[in-house]
Amino acid sequence: MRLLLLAIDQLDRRLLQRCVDAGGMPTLAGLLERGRSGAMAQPQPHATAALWATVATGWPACRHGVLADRTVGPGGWSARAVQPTDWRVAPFWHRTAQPVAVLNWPGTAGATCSAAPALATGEAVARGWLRAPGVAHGDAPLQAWGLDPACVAPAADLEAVRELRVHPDDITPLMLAQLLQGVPEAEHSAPLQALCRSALAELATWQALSLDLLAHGCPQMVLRWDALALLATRLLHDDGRQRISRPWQLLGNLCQLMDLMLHALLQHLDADGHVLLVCAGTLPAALRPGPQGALDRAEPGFAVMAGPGFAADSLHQGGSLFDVLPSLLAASGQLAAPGLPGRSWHGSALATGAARPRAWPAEDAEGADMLSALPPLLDPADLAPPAQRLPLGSDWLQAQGLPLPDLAPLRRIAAETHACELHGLALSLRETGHDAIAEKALAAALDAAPQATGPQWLALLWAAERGDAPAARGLIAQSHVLAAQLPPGDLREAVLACAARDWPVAEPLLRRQLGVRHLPLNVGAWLGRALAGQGRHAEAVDALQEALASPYESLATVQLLAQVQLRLGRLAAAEVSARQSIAMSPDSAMGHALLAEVLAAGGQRDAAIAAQWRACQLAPQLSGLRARWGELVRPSMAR
Amino acid sequence: MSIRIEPCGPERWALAVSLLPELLEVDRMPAQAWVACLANAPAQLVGAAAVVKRARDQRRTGYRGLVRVLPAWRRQRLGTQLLTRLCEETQRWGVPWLHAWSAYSESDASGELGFLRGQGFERLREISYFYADTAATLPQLRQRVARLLAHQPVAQRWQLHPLTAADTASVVALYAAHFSMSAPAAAARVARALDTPIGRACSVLGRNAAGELCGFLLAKPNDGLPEVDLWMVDPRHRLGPGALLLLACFAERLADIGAPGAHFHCNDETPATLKSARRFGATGTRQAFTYAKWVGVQGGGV
Repeated sequence: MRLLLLAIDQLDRRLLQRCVDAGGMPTLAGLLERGRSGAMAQPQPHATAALWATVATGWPACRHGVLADRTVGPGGWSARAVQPTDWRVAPFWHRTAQPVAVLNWPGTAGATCSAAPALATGEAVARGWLRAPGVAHGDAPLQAWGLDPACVAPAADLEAVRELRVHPDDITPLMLAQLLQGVPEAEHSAPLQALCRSALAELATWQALSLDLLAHGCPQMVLRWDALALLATRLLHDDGRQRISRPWQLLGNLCQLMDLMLHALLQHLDADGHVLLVCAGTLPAALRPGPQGALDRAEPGFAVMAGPGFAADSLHQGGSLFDVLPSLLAASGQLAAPGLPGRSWHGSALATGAARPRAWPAEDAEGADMLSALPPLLDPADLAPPAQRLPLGSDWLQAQGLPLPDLAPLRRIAAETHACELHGLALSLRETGHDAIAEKALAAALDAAPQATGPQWLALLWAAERGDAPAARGLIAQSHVLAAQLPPGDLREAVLACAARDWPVAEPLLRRQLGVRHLPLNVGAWLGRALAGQGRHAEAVDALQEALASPYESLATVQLLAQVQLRLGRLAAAEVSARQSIAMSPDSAMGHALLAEVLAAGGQRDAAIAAQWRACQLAPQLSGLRARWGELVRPSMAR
Repeated sequence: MSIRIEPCGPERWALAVSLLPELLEVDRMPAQAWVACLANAPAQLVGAAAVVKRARDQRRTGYRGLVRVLPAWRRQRLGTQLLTRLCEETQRWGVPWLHAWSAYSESDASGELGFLRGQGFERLREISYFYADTAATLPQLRQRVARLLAHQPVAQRWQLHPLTAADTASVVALYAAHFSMSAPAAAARVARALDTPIGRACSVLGRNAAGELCGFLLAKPNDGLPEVDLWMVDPRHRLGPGALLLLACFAERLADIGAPGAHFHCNDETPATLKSARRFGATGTRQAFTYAKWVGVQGGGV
């Protein structure tokens, strides 16, 4: 094997570190020692399929088109899992010269995957692979073992996959005991044991298929393990009876088993082969150990890579999920498409120009190519809406004496799915600096499913962010969901005070909420804003750095941190933060403009002009950016 | 008139559901459907069939199928052709059995049972339906509960309450685990029962001293009388008196609302329920049977 991309869904860095420190993951410890590793910013964890489609295409969700795990089907009366036809940008394995085995990547299974049992649980739904066999393994109880033929390509491999699958009943007592070690409830909980068997069977199935492919000379492999995510989700949501006192221990045991499997995979790696291990998504806060205060924050993703050519300082300044694809292409000896927003971590790619610095000047011919290579931005109107009228043919059925049933449940499912997609689109557009369309997408999401929680929270947070107190107050007053989740008290008052920019009132209220877990609200980040608003910049920096690990508002937090650091004259730190914000969202004009300010303050005028020009290109509608570019350029012209 | 049978795409999904409204009971869209339509008018459906790919039954693992043909187009082998599609699809997934959607009594007059038997469906489980008269049952239950409370400390620790919307989360978890169904589907069924006055008045639950849910009895209306939708005790508490306490509490609720009796049913895998029904004087009203067809497995088996 020449290249292995192993994605582990929801592996928390602290959990991993704990296992490595305890000596439970020797293979990964070795990989960390001889390879490069570092934190990796990721888009907001809205949907599994969207996140991994970003890895496979190198583009944000608002461009690659995978916005949620499910989408509205043609006709507008149904919801189905995301399929390959929904991707607006082809994944990299469609563009490589050598075959790539793709296992268990969301959104890659065939058309009938919408019928896969996994759908019913709301977990990551689409599994499958291309150019190599794949398998769908749903939530069915132990005795059921249907395999969706559409999840296996080529179809001729279906029988081989059937043979290689590992049934939960085939999990050995020793393996189960290893997983349940140190979990006191395991002995008496049949549901917990069944759940663990399912998770292990899932993992073992992928391992069996991977090893089989490698034994048959598969040169490149993209593999995603989601047993950890499956276990975590089920522990938390599906069945309260499976809740255990030490979930961290159980998840750690699973990591140790994964390490053994990783060891077996690496045995097949050539001497000059590359391995990239990418961990993204976040573990549910309630499964993490520690005091309540620590639960509010999730770690960013991280990457580990080994193989010739990865630069020693690849991840020193932080990477992002967008960087995975350019790095992967460079490692397999290919040039990345010129417009890709990410940066390669691979040294040779930098040398050959396959990867570019993020703040590129675009006046040259290459710059024009870069922009033309941009996949078009999705507009809310591009998404298929739910049906509004009765289906064609209803009158015929009525004429046959058949009363039409109440189709409201179908309408509700389609509307919720549509709202979920619009929510994902709004988040992605906002992260990439397209605020106006993002607001439009959010308004459409609120319109599609007025009772959905996510869009309502987002609307409230955005109102608070732009300082629109009447809108924030109105949203809480109109929404039962928000009124229930934000009852009268400190937190509600804090949000309203932040929206009113009344920082002295907001600060003590926020401080009282710091140790409490809240839904999609990063109290630490808001405290940082309150302190910065009062001119207490040094304290604001501390609060913002503390809050940075949250999955929510991270881009806005990083940008605010850069601004405050710039205000304090900490130019080196400000540049790191500005670059980090660009890494998180390469399409955001704000990030480039911030970098320009930092560079200008440090006397790097040419670099500042280039960064400002990039900001102008990304948001040509913002005349202020162009004016500032003019200010930066003028002294040069005078010179 | 020429009829065409073809897979039902998402654009005709709502039409297929109009013919097969049972699919609305299923959460989300875990079904695959075929439609029979007039050859020159694809929107004019004369029949439909669907298979729900969620496993059921421990002994005969299989998927659940449903076929319907409009009366005017029967006796043209359309049902057989639609059923063949369901069997083929089940087989393609490597699943050996296809279960009929409903249970049928031996005296079924609709002709559906005859059709299923003709297609090779075998009898699988027996489902017994009972009617319990409140006036006859309640005194016996009260007597038995009094004895339990006097002699069994475990019984004293059970706290019985009406089941309300606030208890939904834990009830849904137990419900979903029992039927191997998703939490949203279970939540929908619980909500549907609690949406009715009878459901709200008669559904009860039991907790232990630690406040953990130990069991519940969910009621729904049937012909104006309460019917037990699900009466279950968490497996960890099954050896105790929980089932009886729940039943007694349910009977007290029946008396409170003046219901003369209640319907309930159980299958032949729950002998304890059958025994309770007989002990407390419930009378059997009818029996029905579930049916399934062996479809074999493509490629030699799983």
